[in-house]
Amino acid sequence: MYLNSIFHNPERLERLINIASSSFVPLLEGAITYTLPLTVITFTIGLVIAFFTALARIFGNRFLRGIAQGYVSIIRGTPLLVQLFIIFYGLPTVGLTISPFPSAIIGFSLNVGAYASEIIRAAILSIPKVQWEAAYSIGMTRSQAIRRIILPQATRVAIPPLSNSFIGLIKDTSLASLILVTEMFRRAQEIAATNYEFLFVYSIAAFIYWVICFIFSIIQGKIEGRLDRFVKTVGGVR
Amino acid sequence: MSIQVKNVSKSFGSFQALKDISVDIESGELIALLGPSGSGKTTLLRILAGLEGLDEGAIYFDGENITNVSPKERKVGFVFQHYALFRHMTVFENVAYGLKVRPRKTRPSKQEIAKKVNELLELVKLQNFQDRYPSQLSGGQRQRVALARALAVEPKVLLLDEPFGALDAKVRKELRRWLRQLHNEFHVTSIFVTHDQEEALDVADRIIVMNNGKIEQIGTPDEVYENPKSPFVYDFLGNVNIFRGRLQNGKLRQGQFEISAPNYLDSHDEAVGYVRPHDIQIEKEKVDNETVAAKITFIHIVGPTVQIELKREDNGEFLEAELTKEHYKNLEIQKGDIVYVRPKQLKVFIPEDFSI
Ligand SMILES: Nc1ncnc2c1ncn2[C@@H]1O[C@H](COP(=O)(O)OP(=O)(O)OP(=O)(O)O)[C@@H](O)[C@H]1O
Ligand SMILES: [Mg+2]
Repeated sequence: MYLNSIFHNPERLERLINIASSSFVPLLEGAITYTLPLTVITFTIGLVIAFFTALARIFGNRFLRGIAQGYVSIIRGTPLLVQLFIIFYGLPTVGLTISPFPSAIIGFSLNVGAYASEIIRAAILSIPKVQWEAAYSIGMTRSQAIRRIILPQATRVAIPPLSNSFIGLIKDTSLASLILVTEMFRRAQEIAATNYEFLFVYSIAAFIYWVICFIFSIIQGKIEGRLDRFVKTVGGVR
Repeated sequence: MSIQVKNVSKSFGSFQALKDISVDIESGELIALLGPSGSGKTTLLRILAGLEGLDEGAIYFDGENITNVSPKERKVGFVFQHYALFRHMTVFENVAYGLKVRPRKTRPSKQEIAKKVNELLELVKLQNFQDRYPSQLSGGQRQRVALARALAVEPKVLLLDEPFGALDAKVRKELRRWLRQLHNEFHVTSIFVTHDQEEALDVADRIIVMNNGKIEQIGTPDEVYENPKSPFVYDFLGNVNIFRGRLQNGKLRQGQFEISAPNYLDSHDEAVGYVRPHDIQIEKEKVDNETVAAKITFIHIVGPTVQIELKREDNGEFLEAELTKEHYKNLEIQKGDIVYVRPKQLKVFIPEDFSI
């Protein structure tokens, strides 16, 4: 019906083509200048946090374990949007004002850190105990065993779920629109607010998200294929 | 390096896996640790390597108490039951790693490491496989990589947990001969776990027979085979025929039938005689009452030996005999014949002394 009304109304069709061509560029620009950088930066910082959190949870003393566990529990137990609001709208009331983009970086990094730490932790724990023992039996220290035997194998296990998190993060960055980051979705909201073509404009935004995710899932497939070339039996018996 | 195990006990929760184990192993010996599944072989080996703690007792290497020394410092090579190769590394890297991770002071140069690894790969006949990953190797090849990896760090003691467990009979035999040669060359004190008695008898200098977390017997293959100290050892080291009866005047009696047992002069109302299949003699005529009538129920010809299954005419019990093919031909017997069976080399155990 929507399409019908468009195609039987040349004026409306022309208007939509105009809107499409004038909004596509700002949307793409939003994706390239904010959505993608936000994703890549927060994922990188998040991975670093996740790595140390996972190590703290597995190998840390009681104190470190407690901190790491508390952090993961708080982040996983509260909505991401609420976390972003606390950072951007909440902290200024105690005199700590952070502008939109850095707020988003902080919020998303903490979020990724908590979730990815669980993935990394599970990957490390999935490496059979006998791999540790084999490492010790040829004279490795604990830290050598972790660095050279356990982590390389855990990386292979963790990459597929981490790629999933990455793709999830691309889409989650649209929440940053609510703390005034002018990423792609915020721009879509602004454009739609002027021309009232909500369905049309948001669909264009959705399409761009989909294309980006599609490209990354192809890259993910390539990376996994490469890893499989080396080790066909990850997760297998031996 | 010599090894002394003194009164070692180990429990997992309420289950006692090792009960007061003591063993002395001389430097350069090749020892087989033999026993049924769950008897504690792996546990003992892991305790020697320091991979498992012990509850009581102590371990000495060359007279030095190393009970609380970390696995890294024990200089023990360990070949795991399921190889445990580093699956993200090539064959070369697997073997080289133990040398690469040494502290700078004792680490050989890159060329020295490569030379050493190549020598070892040649030794285990894998020089053409050095760039493969473990997932691209057969079971026997993985096993040899595991061995090369353990040898690379020049261990003073080599521990092997069922090194040939998962391999087929022919490869097993080949590898165990080769282990023997290797041992003759390197003189590393070695202990290997097996539950294959033939393997233990074939290559070991001495055999430790374990059962239920305890040592049943320690001795040379000949000693444990010829003079088993308990029914368990006798049973475990080969097939047996069992005769229950009364022991009197150097004879085991079962009614009219008596078996001579000249080494056993005490009297017991209940005694159990054990005879190996190759010590069962088959005769076609009844010449005295030291034989018992039995019907041949089955004849298997396995290469040069012939296995014969018989059913006793008097009590219906089954017996097993083993003859050479030549002897079998001379006897001219066939399935269904009634023959007279003469047990020789009877080994007698008294049930009160053991729980049979
Ligand atoms: N980590 C553990 N926790 C609990 N029980 C254990 C553990 N390790 C071994 N056991 C138990 O100790 C006993 C001896 O085990 P062990 O692995 O030494 O046997 P094994 O002689 O090597 O047997 P197999 O021939 O099957 O390898 C078994 O009953 C086993 O279940
Ligand atoms: Mg075992």
